[in-house]
Amino acid sequence: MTEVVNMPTLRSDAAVRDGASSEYLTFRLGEEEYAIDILKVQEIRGYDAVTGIAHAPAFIKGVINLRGLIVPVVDLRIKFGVGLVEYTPFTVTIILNLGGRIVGMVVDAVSDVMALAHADVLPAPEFSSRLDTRYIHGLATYDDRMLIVVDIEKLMLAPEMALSDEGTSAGERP
Amino acid sequence: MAVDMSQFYQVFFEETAEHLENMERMLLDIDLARIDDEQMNAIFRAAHSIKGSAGTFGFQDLADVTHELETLLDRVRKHDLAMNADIVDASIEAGDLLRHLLAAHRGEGSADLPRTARVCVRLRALYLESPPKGDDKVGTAATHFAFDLPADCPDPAAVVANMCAEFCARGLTVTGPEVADGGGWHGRAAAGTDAGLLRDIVEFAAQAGSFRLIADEDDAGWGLFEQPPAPAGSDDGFGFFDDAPGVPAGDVDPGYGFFEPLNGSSAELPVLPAVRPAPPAGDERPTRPGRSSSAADASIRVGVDKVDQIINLVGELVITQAMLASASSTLDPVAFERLLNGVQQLERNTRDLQASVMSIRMLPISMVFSRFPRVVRDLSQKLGKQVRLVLEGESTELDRGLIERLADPLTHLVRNSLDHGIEGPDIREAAGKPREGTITLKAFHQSGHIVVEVIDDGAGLNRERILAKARERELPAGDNLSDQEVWSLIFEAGFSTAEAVTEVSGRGVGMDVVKRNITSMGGRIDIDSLPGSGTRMTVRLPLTLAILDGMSVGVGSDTYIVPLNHVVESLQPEPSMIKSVGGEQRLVQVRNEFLTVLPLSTAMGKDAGGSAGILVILESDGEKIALSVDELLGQHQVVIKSLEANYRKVPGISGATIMGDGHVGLILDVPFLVQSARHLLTVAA
Repeated sequence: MTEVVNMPTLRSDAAVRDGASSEYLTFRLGEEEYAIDILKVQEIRGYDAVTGIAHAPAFIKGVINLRGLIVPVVDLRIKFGVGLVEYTPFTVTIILNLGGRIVGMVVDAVSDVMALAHADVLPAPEFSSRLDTRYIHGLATYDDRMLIVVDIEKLMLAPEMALSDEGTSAGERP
Repeated sequence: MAVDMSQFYQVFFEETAEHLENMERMLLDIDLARIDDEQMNAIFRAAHSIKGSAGTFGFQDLADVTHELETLLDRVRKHDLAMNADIVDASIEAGDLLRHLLAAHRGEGSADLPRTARVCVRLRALYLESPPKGDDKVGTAATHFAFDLPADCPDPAAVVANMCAEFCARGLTVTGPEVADGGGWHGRAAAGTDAGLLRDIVEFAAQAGSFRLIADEDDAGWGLFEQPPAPAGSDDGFGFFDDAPGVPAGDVDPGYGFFEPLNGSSAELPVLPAVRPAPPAGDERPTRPGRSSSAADASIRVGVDKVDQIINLVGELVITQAMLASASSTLDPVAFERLLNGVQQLERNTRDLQASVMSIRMLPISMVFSRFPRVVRDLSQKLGKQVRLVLEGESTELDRGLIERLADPLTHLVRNSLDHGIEGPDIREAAGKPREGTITLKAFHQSGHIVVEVIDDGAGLNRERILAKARERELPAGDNLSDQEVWSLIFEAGFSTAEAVTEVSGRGVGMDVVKRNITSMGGRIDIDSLPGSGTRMTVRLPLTLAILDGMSVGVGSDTYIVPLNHVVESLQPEPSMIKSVGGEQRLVQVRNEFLTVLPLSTAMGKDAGGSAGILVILESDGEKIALSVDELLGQHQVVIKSLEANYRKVPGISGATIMGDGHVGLILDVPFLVQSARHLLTVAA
């Protein structure tokens, strides 16, 4: 039931060379590749047994039982409108621990764990997309791939995610 | 000191609070007409333990107060003093003060020093001014006192001069103080001096705990003490005092050796006066408190979070076991006989484990009940009523979380019964009842619930007055309401029929809060009342907050849990029973009632699919609705988990649980559904 994916331990030598760096977990949503701070990641598991919740936005798939904890699961593919939304035995849920709050996040695939030098993360230009640039920490390139470095904590706890009671406008009482 | 004592403070606080509670309970139990020696010993031991540990941990004020209390109790238990209501009152007051001081040390508020002084003086007055019987002179006699200044005091003369100025300012007539032979100081206060005040002034400057009071007379017989008190209180005496600071010397046992022969002057010399005929079992052997203190068994202190963690883990184990069981159910019973046996045994063991772990959280309801003797005593004194409190079923166990939340509503009910229910003694007598009213608190288990009853034999509820009041407040109240319905009016907010607002109750806030508190615990409150004979309030609660009796219902592929305490009945409707209003909203006629039909799928934000398969009639706050679901799946106890810990409040859902197959099941918020159904109806109408 719990399918733990072995995390690749590939490292970027270029980044390690440079002193100030952080480790990131990268994952794919459709053709796009995202990176998040690995310290926010609690575990990675398969996608199963989600119980739907009433009056929730479409990207909140529901809640799962994570060893006795009730944890909400968000499908980032729906949220960002990228990739093909389908659930297969290979669909992966990243469990995040954001300052005591546990949240699950469905992505297409987990690709790498890599170190990125702070200097290599370039500020993103202003543009409009379904992912607000406020939540983008910066952009980085690695092996000619562009990585979107996301401030995942800020994103997940934002009012528009409707994951917490503070500042939630979704789900008014009928 | 090398050892950091602060790490033990918490233990000290808990233990002391426990001792205080025991002491108070025993004090309230005292029957003045028949003093039980064992009981007195137990009370004394409680005070003694508090004093001992307070001294050890350096809580001087606690130790000082308990010392006074202990001295008083010691004399009572040795029959030097006769127990009387004053002593009981003073001891209870001292207990309150100790609790207050304890709270101050915990960092809740600050210590009330004048109160401390007052209580100490009161206690001291009780044992000083009523000395061994047959001698009433000491209290009025001149007082001889002695003290030491700190060894490092730079200018003793100036300090003493200051002290004298203070004596004058407070109106004490004091001769001295002057240096005694042994290096201490001694002085003499005029007859009738307030010993507590004297002590307070002296201790301000003197070395802590060195103040000694020696009751004195100007008789020749006091030759022993005429010379400065150094011999009495010097070296060996000090070894003793240092352990228990704040000891006024004259009252420690050794002092007695001096006093008795002197006071009794010539007659029957050496024997301690047998003040009162000692009760039959007058021997002093230290016995256990003979009361039915079943809780005094061996126990360990464990943090609640640890217990909760164990409960969670066991919950996990149960789910894992259920998974194993369902996975192995398809196996060939012959080929896998041993495995299947093992799985079966695992199931049994898991059940047992779960049951015993859950019982850790259970505490006897005496934890709540134990406060009521005090509440009733104080209140009946204040109201001038005579009330006897009867406690039944104190050992009934319920969840710790419930215990804490039950205390307030129950206190309210008891106060209410005392204030409004029980009549004054004269009225009772005129009505042919005993002058003393009775309030009974009764707890027992009944079909998976715990029932707590508050019964009084007072006047009962007045139907007319409640109805009049209800109309005054423009509540819907016709004359044809049943008694039950009339009684439940008193749970409306702002409802009070008390003729006058008293300090105790009558402001009309309360019964609605009581009801709300109890409902929020998943419980119910009912009233039975008979004019002239009394009232019975029945509170029915689930055994625990963490577990809920639920009925699982299916809608489409989803499963929801309906809390069973809201379910009235379930039925399969005939098509003719369902009526439509305005085409959209549907009503169902069940016997003589029309109920709103709320399809669960609509309430959960899904498309209403199919016909109403089964209707579950739900009730909340007296309102009923019919919830339409596809199927009933079963009935089970579920462990309630918070949805808000990692997510947020969801309308219509009160929590979540983990089903046998590991899926999350959502628990319906019935009061919300009932309300929202009513809302829909008013919109439609």
